Amino acid sequence: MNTFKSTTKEYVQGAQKAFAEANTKAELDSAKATYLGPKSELMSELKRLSRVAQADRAEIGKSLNMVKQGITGMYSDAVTRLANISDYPPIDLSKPGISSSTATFGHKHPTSEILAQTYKIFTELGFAIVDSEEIETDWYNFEALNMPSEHPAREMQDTFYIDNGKMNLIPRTHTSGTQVRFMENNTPPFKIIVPGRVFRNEDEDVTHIWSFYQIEGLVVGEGVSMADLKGTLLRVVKGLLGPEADIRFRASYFPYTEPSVELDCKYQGKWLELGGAGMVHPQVLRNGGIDPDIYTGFAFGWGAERLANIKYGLTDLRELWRPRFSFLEQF
Amino acid sequence: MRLSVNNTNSYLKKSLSTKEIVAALERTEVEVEEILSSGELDTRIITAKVKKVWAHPNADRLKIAEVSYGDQSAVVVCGAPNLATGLVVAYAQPKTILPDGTKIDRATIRGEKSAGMLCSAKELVISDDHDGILELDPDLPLGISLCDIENTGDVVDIKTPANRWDMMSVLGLAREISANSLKNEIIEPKRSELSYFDKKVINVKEIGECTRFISARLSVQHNSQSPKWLVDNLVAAGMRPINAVVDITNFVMLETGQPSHAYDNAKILGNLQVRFAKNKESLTTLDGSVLKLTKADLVIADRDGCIALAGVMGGASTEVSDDTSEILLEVANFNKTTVRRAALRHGLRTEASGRFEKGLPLPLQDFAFSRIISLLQTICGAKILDGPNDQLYAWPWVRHIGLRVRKAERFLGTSLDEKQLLHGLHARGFEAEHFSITKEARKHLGKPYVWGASYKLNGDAAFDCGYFVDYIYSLIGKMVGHQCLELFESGKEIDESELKPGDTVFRDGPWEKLESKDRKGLSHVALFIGNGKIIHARDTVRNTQGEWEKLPKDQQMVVEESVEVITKDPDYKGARRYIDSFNHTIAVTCPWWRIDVETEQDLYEEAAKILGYENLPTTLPQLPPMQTEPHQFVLHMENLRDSLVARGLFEVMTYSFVSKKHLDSSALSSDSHLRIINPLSIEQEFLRSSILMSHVQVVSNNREFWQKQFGFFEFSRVYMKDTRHKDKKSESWRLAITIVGEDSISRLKNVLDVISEKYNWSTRISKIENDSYITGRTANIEVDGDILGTFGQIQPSLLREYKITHEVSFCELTITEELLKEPIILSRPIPTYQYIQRDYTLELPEETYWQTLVDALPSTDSLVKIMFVTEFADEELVKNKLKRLSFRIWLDCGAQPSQAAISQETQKILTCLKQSKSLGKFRVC
Repeated sequence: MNTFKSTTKEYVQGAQKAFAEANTKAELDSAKATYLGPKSELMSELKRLSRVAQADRAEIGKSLNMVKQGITGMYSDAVTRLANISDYPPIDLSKPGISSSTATFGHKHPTSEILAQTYKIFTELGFAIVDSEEIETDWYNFEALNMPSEHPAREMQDTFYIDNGKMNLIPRTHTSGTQVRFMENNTPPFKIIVPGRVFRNEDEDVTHIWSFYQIEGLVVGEGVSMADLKGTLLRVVKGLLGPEADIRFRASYFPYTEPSVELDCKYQGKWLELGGAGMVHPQVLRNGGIDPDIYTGFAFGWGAERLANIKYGLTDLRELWRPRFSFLEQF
Repeated sequence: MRLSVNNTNSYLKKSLSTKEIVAALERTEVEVEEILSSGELDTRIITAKVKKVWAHPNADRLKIAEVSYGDQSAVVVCGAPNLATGLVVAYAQPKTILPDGTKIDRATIRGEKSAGMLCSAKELVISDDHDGILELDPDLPLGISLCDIENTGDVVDIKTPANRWDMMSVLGLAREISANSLKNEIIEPKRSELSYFDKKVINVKEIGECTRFISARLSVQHNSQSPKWLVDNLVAAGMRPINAVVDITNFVMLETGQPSHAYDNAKILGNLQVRFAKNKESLTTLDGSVLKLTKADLVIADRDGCIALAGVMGGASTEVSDDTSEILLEVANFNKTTVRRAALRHGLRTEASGRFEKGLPLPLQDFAFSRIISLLQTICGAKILDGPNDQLYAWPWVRHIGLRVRKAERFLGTSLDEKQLLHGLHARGFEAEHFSITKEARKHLGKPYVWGASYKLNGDAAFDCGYFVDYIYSLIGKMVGHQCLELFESGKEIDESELKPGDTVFRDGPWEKLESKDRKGLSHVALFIGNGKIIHARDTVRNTQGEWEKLPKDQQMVVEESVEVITKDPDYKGARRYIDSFNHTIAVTCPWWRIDVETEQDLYEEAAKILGYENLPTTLPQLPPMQTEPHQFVLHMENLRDSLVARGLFEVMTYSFVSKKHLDSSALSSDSHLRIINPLSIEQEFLRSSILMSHVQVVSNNREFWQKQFGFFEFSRVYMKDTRHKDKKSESWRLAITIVGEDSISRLKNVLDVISEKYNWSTRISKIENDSYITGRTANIEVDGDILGTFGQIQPSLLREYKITHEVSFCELTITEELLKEPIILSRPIPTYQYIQRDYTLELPEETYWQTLVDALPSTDSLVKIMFVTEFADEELVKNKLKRLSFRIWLDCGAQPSQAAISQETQKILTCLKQSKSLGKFRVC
């Protein structure tokens, strides 16, 4: 009895070492047998407890049980650790993988589907599709588009700000920031669309999401007219929603286009708001290094999700960004 | 903003229906959000008087009232707090149908019988007021239908554009409505004729912040009552009536768009100042809150301190009450940005600040002031005791723009009917007429010559030579210059033989001032008007001796003469042109309320609206081919997307912003991430640099799919801090693929193999250790020496945090335009003979990568193809840390090769493998 008590410390240390070093299930099992098994020293001591003098029994029993608890803890830690490795031996990752057994097609995201259809129509019309960064500077997102700080129109787009000291970096609130960026590096004529994620600091509900895809269009050249804008959009909307679809313009205001219009589309007999459009403001052309006395242009934009909403009759736009496969399976 | 149809009609010569008003508004930038229709009230809703009120025996909040009308009476249960004996109320008799469709019937409410109900203003769609029952005029006859008395009519709820201050006023909207409806005109509200003093009664210390301050001290009668029409108007617009003086200022704000403020003059101590607040000054506002002011707050202050936050809200200390007998009226123009910032800072977006922050034109202040005075005189019997004083610190410019019709037509892509265009502009308050420079110049013949004349000093009453040309051109918004030298340099040089109307001719002459170096010998300019004639403002002529002679004062004027007076003069200096053609140019003068119209392009918008967007034709741009490089990246991603869908994968989109928990879970430091200062929630505080945790979350949220083998992918940009430049960041495109279920890592690898093959990438795999993945089941994937990304099977411990009990493997590849380019394919002819096929099985150390074996094979032309067949290890092999690897090769040994030739080739291959250092020892089985 006294012997075990005097060696308890060594016993616990030994257990710790054995469990820590066990790298296979077999090693772990052997360590368990040695330190916790029925034939282990600890168990023998516990069995002997009944023969201990009544006076000492409680105290000794308590200390033995504490040792048992400690070692059981070590064992379960080791089990957890080994669970991560022992079930999954190393694999040669350079060898060919295994093809999935499922022979079905996957599902493209509905927003992607809309975007793909959009790309198709615009490329048919000779537009280039331009990729652009999502973290924009205040200049391109706002100032260059006639929205200096304090401009009330900034309130039309609630903005997130990035903590970089200067507050000049923002997750873009619209793809229009690419307008001036593209103008700076290209000579008219050009016809582009810019698809991409945009971010608005707005509370979500079934018809509003704070993160969405926008499609921006920009055409600049000599003699580009507002009738060209209307014709282009009519062609695109018919392409996206079918030959029965129609469009209409309603007067509106955006600081970076003049005139500005709201674009509505008629789908299945109903007029629905789609996006905004207008003739590029001469100051925006100037900001992009283009002479407004020679060139004119138009721009437009809408949310891909809104179009998805119109086309697929979504009841909750948030589904698009909180993926549930039972929802996505439908597309 | 809420626009009452009845009220709007009171500003129109021809009344319009709600439908017509909405149709007219829809042709403007105004967005009609909702039409709150008054409908036809059920005739069962009648006036009744509350005779008696007693408590409901079974409900604390309910009361019972007896109402009477004529010789009849009824008992109803009512919960309104304002129910009191003597009130005249709107009583809905049983069987009434309320405007919202609710049917009112006899009912028993908590055991007490109720014959109908007493209505609130909201229930009758008269206003939003639902605080209690509608209290009607106590003098109304009882028992008559409410239809006959309450007729506030429909209200249209609208959203106005950010650039149109005038659309935040009923008058402004009425102007637009009248312009967009046939043969209609505005009825201007009655205003007092006032003459202003320019005494500096207010100490405006910040004239940049307060460009105009009109004020007057007036006596008003005690307890003046706002008439019903005024109260109805405020209520329809959603404002609460307070007292006659305040109601009038609020009403005029709604009517004209100009906020104003009335102070109780008895409560003002000393003279008023307009200044910035001092730090630690405070202001108790009308709504009772105490504002702590800063140096950025513009205030109106008296001797004792601030009494109003300029343009936002007045203070409680000088509030006008029913007892007020003397007021100080303020109608001012404050800096829009200052007002906006103050309103935001103090969380006080008021009706006033919302109007100031759009920027108000200077002529609006006296317009509104005289209207307020007129109403104060009529309603409150007001008398001006002092003033009115007009302190004006800025110049109220009038804007002229030349509208070139042909250019507008090209811009809009349609022809314009000039008659319709002029008519439409006039209807919108613009002055507009075809511009003839000759006609315009001749209008001023005989006007006196005044040296140094300018617009501010002389208007169009007197000119000098330069100002004359400047003035004529300013009518079409063209800035040509004011001095001779400016005019000479801003024009295009032309020969006198080319002269067309509008050109200018210059000569030198007597120069009274000191000779100046930059004068270039110019002292006079004249405007050519065609037919060999000029018109100019002149004070000097050459006499018959050819000497300069000053004309007598009464002959110094604008005259028409032969151009030869200048061109044949020995000091003739040349001719200049500013505009190539004046054809179809309309000189437009903007009305003072249209400060949003600044450029010719703004007028194209007016032209488009006059034409009507529905009449705009539809054409496609006729442009030569693009001069820029083709952009293919997005389409290439599209192509890859389709391939992945074809492999049976779902596409997902997940938010680009993640929580700190996500970063912690994947052992990423939040310090290295871009952080949002104003996130919607802590779930979206950081910009992700990896898609891993977003996808773990997706797996976690789709528990019902775990039993199936499935996978999904996402294309998204990720964002990184630029550690060297604090104000910069970097972004890159990523393709993330997640595979769930048995053999997830091998199934993921298969997807990577397919992609690799599709783009003909020379892919290499290198083992790594990564905390998020199981050791031995994670690697980097490299193409041409660049690491594309990491893939691996996710640590079960990490998955457990998200309660995922299945295997999940994940990869994230950085994709670039270069990587997704279509591979260049050079085909290889298939020979008419068969390739020689050989299978081998090697016994190797278990950690040997297949890739190492492939590398060890010789790169000879004869080795056409290599294929992995299988890998095997039994207990014995495992014990010895070995495995067996089988593979197949195809050799091109030519047509009908001899056994010897074949064996020579195969031997070559085995020798090569044996000599390979990286492969080490192996045994051929």
